[in-house]
Amino acid sequence: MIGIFLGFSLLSMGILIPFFGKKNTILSGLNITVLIALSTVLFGKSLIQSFSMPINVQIPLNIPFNMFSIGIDSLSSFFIILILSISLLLSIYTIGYCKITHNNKNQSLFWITLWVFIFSMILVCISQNVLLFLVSWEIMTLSSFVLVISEHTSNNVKKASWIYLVTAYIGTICLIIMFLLLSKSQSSMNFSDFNFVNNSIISSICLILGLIGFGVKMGLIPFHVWLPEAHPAAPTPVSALMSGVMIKMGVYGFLRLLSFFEIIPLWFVYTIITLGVLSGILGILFSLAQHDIKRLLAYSSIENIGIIMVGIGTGYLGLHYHNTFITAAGFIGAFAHIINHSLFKSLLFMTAGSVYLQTHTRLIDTLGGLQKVMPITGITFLIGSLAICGLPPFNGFISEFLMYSGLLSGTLHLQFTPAIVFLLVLGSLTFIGGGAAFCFIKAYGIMFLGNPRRDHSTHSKESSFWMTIPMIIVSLLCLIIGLSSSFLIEALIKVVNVFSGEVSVDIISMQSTLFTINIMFLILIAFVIGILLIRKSIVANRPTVITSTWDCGYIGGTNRMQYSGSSFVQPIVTFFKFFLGYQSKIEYHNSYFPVKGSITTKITDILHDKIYLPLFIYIINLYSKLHLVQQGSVQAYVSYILIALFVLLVWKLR
Amino acid sequence: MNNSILLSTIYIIIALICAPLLTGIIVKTKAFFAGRKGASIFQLYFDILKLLRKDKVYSSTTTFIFILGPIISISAILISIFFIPFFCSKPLISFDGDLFLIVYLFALARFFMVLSALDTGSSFEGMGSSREIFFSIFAEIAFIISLITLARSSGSFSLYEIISGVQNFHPEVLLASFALGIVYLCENSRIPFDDPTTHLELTMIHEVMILDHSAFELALYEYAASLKLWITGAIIVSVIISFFSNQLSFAMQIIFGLIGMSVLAILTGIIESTTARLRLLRVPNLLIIACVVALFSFIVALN
Repeated sequence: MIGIFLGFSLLSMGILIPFFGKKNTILSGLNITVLIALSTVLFGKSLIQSFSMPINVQIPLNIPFNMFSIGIDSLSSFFIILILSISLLLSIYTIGYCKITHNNKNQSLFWITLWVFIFSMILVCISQNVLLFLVSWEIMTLSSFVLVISEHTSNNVKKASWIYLVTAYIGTICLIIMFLLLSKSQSSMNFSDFNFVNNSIISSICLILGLIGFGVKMGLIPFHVWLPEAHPAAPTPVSALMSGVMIKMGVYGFLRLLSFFEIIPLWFVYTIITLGVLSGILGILFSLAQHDIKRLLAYSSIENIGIIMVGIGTGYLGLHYHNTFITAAGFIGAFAHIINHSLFKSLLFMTAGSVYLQTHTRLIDTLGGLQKVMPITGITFLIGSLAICGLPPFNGFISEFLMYSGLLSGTLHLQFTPAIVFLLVLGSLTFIGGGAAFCFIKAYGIMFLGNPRRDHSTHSKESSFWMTIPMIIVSLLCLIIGLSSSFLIEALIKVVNVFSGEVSVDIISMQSTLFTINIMFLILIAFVIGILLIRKSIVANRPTVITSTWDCGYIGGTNRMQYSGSSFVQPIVTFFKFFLGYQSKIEYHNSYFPVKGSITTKITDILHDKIYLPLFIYIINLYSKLHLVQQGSVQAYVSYILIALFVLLVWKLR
Repeated sequence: MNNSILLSTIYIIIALICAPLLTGIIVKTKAFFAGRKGASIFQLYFDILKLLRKDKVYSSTTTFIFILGPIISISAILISIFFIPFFCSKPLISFDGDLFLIVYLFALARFFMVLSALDTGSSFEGMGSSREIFFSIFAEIAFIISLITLARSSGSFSLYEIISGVQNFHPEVLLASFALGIVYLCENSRIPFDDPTTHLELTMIHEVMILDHSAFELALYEYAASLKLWITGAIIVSVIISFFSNQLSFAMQIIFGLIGMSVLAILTGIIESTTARLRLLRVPNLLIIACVVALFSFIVALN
């Protein structure tokens, strides 16, 4: 408990940042890094303790509604460990990034806001009171808005940040209503008093409002519209932090809400699973079709959040049908995927930012051949892609395998309706996995391999060590988690117990299966090394001839003749062109000799264009009818006040 | 127990040695239909040994991925041999849910094959790669759903127990085998999905991805392709013959298994000789037929 206090006050010392180097990136950055590291150390013991027993602290200040009640249990400490570790690595990366972008400019606003952002996320996780939760939620939204709008001179950035702010507030409004309903029905503002047993109308409304409110923050379809706009607009470290950590705060809030209820109704669980599957499928389809690497990664985050929701839904279905294996596999798979996604998504954003700094473009179709000039960035991007596709031997496979096991057990042991549902979900997860492979083969292959399609990569060189060292560390973490996953399960099952009750499951069998899988991964790596050595011994002494690629004897080939990103995904984009809003415009006039032509393809976000935009335009038109009342003349407004006062007086005196 | 380890080791050695023979049988069958004598059954062995003796030629565009790709592909496929149950033997490693590991190991092999193709910066290889992954998305779905159907009818989800749990020719087994057959043709780039004998780069899918590879890398890819043919074929043959051959002695089991594999290879050759290759735009239709058949077989298995 002392650790919590000390860690907290250390975090609060971030206020000293502007005095420690207004223009010096390294000092400000190291300030943050040291703060986070120290607070991890001090928090650490309390965090590990809280896995077995929740810790609650009441600060004895005379504040209404007992606002400062904080505490951690295993669910919160899981997320706090996640926040602290990812922000530690990202703060080192941000030093390297800001050295180039903010060179010799006053950057104290950026660093303070970064510190406030991280601080508010930790505050969200440890608050046990409705007011404290909502206040820290607001601080989180506002500080991330300030960070997103860092390059405020560009119109695109301003538009994107505005969309982010408005959508975030719609979510927060739903959350405020939901929390007010909850605290009114329990007559208390403390989370520890929230204990719903019966399924009334109030609890159903609260569940739906919570799904909307937290779904906005998570990026669940159909509330995801801010993600693909905000991530490309924000500077890369901010995108990485948002996508790796802030989205998980939405998941945390949702899980905390679900932990208040004894029984989750079956229709709600099916809603969670349906929205999860939709997010996964639509997310990966949109992601495939993007030309901008950061938009691609943003849609891929939406897809992974969908997978996490599927895992949570599977766990609740297991609870409903009293099958402990499905419950454990679903929930542990979801939690493992939360850790894994934070790791490899921040890795992918870090490498994308490193590429952007060197080539000054985010368009995949103009890059190429970067592997040779930026080897470390390339290899770490490859490892991130392998991990996000769930391929052996990295960590993505473990979480997907756990969820697949749970779903498979459901198809075998359950009866008609849930078995079909599980089978369809399994099919969708397979489709999502295949689509993710397609998407990241395109991203890595077109950006890093082949010849440069424009001139960018001839001037590029590898990033500084501030940026490459966190990338290498996270890639190693991905590999290590993939190879040692059986040890994670014991810790994760304790997290699950918080919100699903005691799930006594035979984790020994799960652990031994994962142990077998880890051994197979090690054998795979051994085979690769072995065949490399065999190759060395067979072909070492033979001469190597370097020539050009086979091009069917065509002499005049240029780099533009390679496959580009959009041509690579053309088969699947045209197959699903209804969902993707795919439009292509071809300009070519047939003539006797070859003439210049062009093709432009456009993908629009179907929800943004068909639902949100018309809705907001309709609301604007509706409100413009209020122009009658709001004329702009101060005398009219004063007369409104007089009339209102008069009416009140009459009504009160009656 | 020692017997089962011995049997599975024998099967692994048979798989490693006899895999290129399957390709030879397919080629001989096609030659028979064309009225030719055809290449020798052992031609792929001669090809692989010849390739191992050649010098290295690399394109200036390529990076280390070009060399690492074939090595990772063949390692992934070699690992998967350890837990495929051949015919009715218990594989060396077997655990619940290993069918997902097989699918993902094949996906890893395909990932690196495609990356090493994109590494060359050639438009032909980009074309073939994009088609290959597009088809594999649907093929994976059909593969998993048919295996789940068989799992449902046998009640367990490790591959060994799935295959040994097939009791007789229930309708869902036949439907699932049909879907598995279509997936087998797609994964191994056979007609009607891809013509392995075409020389037109614009029409190739699998062949074009290994177009720029030579010598050691090409030898690895050819051997990996033949191993994949053996493994996917063995799954289908095991599903069909396991229920009547597990009462036989070991020698008879091995002989029945090899006869089954040869029959499958001859059938593949017959399909290749009598069917034409599908238009590329029609291929997803065939794969979705496989998915729907697999889904239907699951519904049949539910009762």
